[in-house]
Amino acid sequence: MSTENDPRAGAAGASGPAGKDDITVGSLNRFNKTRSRRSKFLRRFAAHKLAITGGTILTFVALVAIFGPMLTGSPTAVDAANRLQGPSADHWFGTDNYGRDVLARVVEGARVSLLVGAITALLTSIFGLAIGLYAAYNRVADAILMRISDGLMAFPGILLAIAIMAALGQHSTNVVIALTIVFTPYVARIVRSSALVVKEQTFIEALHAQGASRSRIIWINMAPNVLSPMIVQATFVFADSIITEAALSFLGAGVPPPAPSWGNMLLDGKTVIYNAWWMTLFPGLFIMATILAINLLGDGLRDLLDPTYKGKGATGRKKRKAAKKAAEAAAAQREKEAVGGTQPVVPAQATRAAEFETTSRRPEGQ
Amino acid sequence: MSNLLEVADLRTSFATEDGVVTAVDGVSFSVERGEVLGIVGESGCGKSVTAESIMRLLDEDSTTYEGEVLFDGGTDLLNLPDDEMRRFRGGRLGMIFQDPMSSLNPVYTIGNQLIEALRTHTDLDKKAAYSRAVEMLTLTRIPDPELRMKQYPHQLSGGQRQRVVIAMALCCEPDLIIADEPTTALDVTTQAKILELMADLRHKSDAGTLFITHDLGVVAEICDRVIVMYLGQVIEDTDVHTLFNTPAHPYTRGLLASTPSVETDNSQDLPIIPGAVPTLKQVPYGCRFAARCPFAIEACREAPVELREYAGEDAVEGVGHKVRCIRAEEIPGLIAEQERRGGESADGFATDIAEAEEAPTEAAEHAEAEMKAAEEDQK
Amino acid sequence: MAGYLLQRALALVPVLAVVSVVTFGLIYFMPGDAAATMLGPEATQEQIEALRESLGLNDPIWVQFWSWLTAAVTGDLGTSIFMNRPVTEVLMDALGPTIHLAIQAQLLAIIIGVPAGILAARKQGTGTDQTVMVGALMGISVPSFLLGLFLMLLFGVILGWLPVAGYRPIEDGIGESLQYLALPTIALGAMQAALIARMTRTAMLDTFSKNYMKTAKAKGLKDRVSLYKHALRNASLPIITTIGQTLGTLVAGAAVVETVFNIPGIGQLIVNSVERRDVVVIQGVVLMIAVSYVLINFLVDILYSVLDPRVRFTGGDS
Ligand SMILES: Nc1ncnc2c1ncn2[C@@H]1O[C@H](COP(=O)(O)OP(=O)(O)O)[C@@H](O)[C@H]1O
Ligand code: SF4
Ligand SMILES: [Mg+2]
Repeated sequence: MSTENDPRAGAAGASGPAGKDDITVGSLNRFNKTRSRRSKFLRRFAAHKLAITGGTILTFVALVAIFGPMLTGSPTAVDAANRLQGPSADHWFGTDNYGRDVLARVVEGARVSLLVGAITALLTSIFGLAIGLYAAYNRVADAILMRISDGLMAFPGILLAIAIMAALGQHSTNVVIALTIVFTPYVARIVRSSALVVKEQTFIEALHAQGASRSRIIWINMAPNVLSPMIVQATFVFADSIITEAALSFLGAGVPPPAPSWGNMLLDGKTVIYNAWWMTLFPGLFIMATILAINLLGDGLRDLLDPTYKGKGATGRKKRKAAKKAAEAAAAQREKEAVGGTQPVVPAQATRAAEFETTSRRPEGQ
Repeated sequence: MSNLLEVADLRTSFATEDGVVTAVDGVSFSVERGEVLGIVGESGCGKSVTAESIMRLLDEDSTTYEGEVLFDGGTDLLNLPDDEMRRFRGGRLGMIFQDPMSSLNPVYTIGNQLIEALRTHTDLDKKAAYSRAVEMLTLTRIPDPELRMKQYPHQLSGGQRQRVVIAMALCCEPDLIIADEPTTALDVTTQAKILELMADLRHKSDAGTLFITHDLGVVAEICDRVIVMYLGQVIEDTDVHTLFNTPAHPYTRGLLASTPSVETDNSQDLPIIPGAVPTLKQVPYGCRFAARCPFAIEACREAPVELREYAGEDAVEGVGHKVRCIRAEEIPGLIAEQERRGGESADGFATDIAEAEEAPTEAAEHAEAEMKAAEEDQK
Repeated sequence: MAGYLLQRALALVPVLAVVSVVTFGLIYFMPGDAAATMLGPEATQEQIEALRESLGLNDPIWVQFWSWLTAAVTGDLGTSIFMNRPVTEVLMDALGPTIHLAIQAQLLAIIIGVPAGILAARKQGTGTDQTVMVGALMGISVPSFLLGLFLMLLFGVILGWLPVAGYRPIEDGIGESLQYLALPTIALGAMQAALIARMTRTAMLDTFSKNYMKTAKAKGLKDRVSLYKHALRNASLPIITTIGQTLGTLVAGAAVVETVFNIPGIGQLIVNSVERRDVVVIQGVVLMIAVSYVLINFLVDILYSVLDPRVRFTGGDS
């Protein structure tokens, strides 16, 4: 876009300085914008193939996690007679070294993984939002909170999680605690930087001038404006915490056996990898599919929600290619007509614009 | 004498995600050796696209060029193979960009970038290129050229950087210089100095210059001929005196009325053209200026308006004066009548800026809303 | 420049302070009696008391912290309860294979990721771009330990081409060493390559849109020169930052991948220590990796300032 600022262009819509009266108008406008934005968002989401794919796979895994356990047998029932059986009609995914049904365990593992991921994403969002907004609002708090988050982010996530697990002891709740400590700084950072931008906007200044209370400004006015980037980040936290939980459990520092989790199933599988490939393959595929789905969804959401993100999708290219073809065809057409000496063709867009023109106001002088 | 540059019916379209937009739509003009041709118009009317079409700088994947750009006796730049075109760029065609802050690469020294330009187009060895580069910098009257060679762009002021950009454009002695708003990004004093420099330099060679600006004041200072552009089309084409003395198109009148004169420095009180340039997605079928034109009548909207010779009573003999307005000849009369009745300024535009702001035309409002929507779409 | 470096160095202080508090806190926040937990259920009361004494758990907390910190600064990270050896010594033994693996994976990632990212950016929107980006997405969606398991299953178990466990240092011969580390290196490098490819693509696209690229074209430069001299040099700055920032994760990832392939490095040390709840060792590992991460990023800052004249000359932190 051109950055030049021609004082003569577009002066008609100039708005006055923000005053009290502007607030209601401004917030009304914002309200309307949000509404139209939402419908536009849904339309664009539906057109975003990758996001739809991700959403579909994730929904499938979620359905498996919710309803699967009703259909499969017990994930912990030991059957010594049927140890390490390959996939069969009875045991689609085979059995493990205790004769437990791998399918039942994968399904139950889905429940554990998604639950841990979802709760962590939720908790990090709540804490991250509170910390990020507060930091953006208060300089002193900012300095302290951001140094703490820098410090926490200096630890590789998995390592800090292991250390916390080692200190707290192996328990599913502790996994969530550890992951929340690890990932909150990432959400807080994002919230803070978007909040700093929002804070500079005139409507916040206007609220200050109006004497709105601090918590009102933070929670009612600033929070909704940082939600988009926060949701995108929370999606990635969701994926990362599933990965980290799996890694923790694989290292024996996560969800304690005998409860199944994809990670500890892989640990069991590794010891018998020469005899039972199915114990590694199936939980592995589920992890892969789930993470891929969340990442697709996250990338899609970022494309759609985050105006500063510039990763142009390939769909745009296709449309542009089609448009270019159309342009070339039109050019060829014009050339032909020019040779024939006829009037230049009127492009469709000009006709549409002409309709708009005739319905608009007649300028004076007529 | 054959023209140095002959642009004939240039049409540049972009394939965008929402379809084709034609940013430059049938533009023709020519530049002679030693001549400075100005292109004026509000921001967004296709000046830069015109310039970059000549240099073929636009993204090849999405841009379609039509028409002809004949350079120095008939080379059609638009049909040149890529590597031949490359030899023209920076060699016989020099380009000066608008924003000196961002048009130099921040991680290389000035010297590096100047020498690179020289060595791309000449056989000079490093040493010779270095002294040539210093010579060029000296020519642009930059203080302490030897030191500048070693410095990085961020260590220079805006004006100094623009001098470097000028030196870079001129170092291979181009036949055609294209300057796209070379002073817009600079403060007023620096603007004046850079203009002075450019005016000086043009006398030192017989290169032709295409000088793009949205500032008619600058045009008056430096140009010989002028074309006025609106929404991708030339709407008036004449020499600089005629343009200022007897403007024919209502748009040109509007631009002139809103240009601060030297005596009155109070630009706040100047009349403005109400409304904004429509976006390329809603190009009107008839006269493209109709939505903002105080003289628009039904006939204006009915058919595309052609660029034609101006034949008003005040037309100057023998200069060539083209205009794209069906009522151009009546307008002086209309204005006189309005003045008699009072209420409107001599240009037919509302004088009261506040009035224009409070009661924007519906069309302008609509256009603005569309523009915002388009911006949001782009995000 | 000197001012810039000093400013950067000073910024390390609070980060290192937080790192040490968190690390120290690991023992302090252990639920129940840390000494009893660490020694396990069979420990006698005297043993527990002795450990409490030697860990200084009976002192006021700030005394504990201070003595721990001063010891750590001088390289004394305590003594492993289980192995009864100084943690520093244990760490040094385990570090070799981990660093070896991490460096090899990083090199692989750069060799693949940077060209792939450049290619994708040049062919933005085409099938090539899409392929690279889908590949990168797969790369970041398969945790390295899982990829390790899959590779082990395919190349080790099914095809039997490569060894699935163990480690040979380079001294044993490059060929032999590579054979053992090939699968772990790929497993660990893949995600890193994916991250680098994505970052490279974004950074390249970002520079493509800069005005100086138009200037370069208007000068008549060849596309190749524009690309490698003008675009890549600018894009290298964020790419280097990404590489620096992911280095800690890479080392941690190496530790996880090691356990897949039974490589005797930091990873195994951690796993064993977690099992034994030898928190002192964990503390040592965590502290060392976090501090190295901070220091490496300091080095990246210095490198950055060498590469970016704007930083080099003004000392601003832009
Ligand atoms: N690459 C592009 N794709 C689509 N539209 C473009 C592109 N470049 C410029 N335009 C549009 O072309 C019009 C003319 O732009 P420009 O020539 O930059 O105007 P100006 O006269 O201010 O220099 C604008 O409406 C702009 O939005
Ligand atoms: S043709 Fe009509 S609308 Fe267009 S400029 Fe002339 S008078 Fe105005
Ligand atoms: Mg322009």
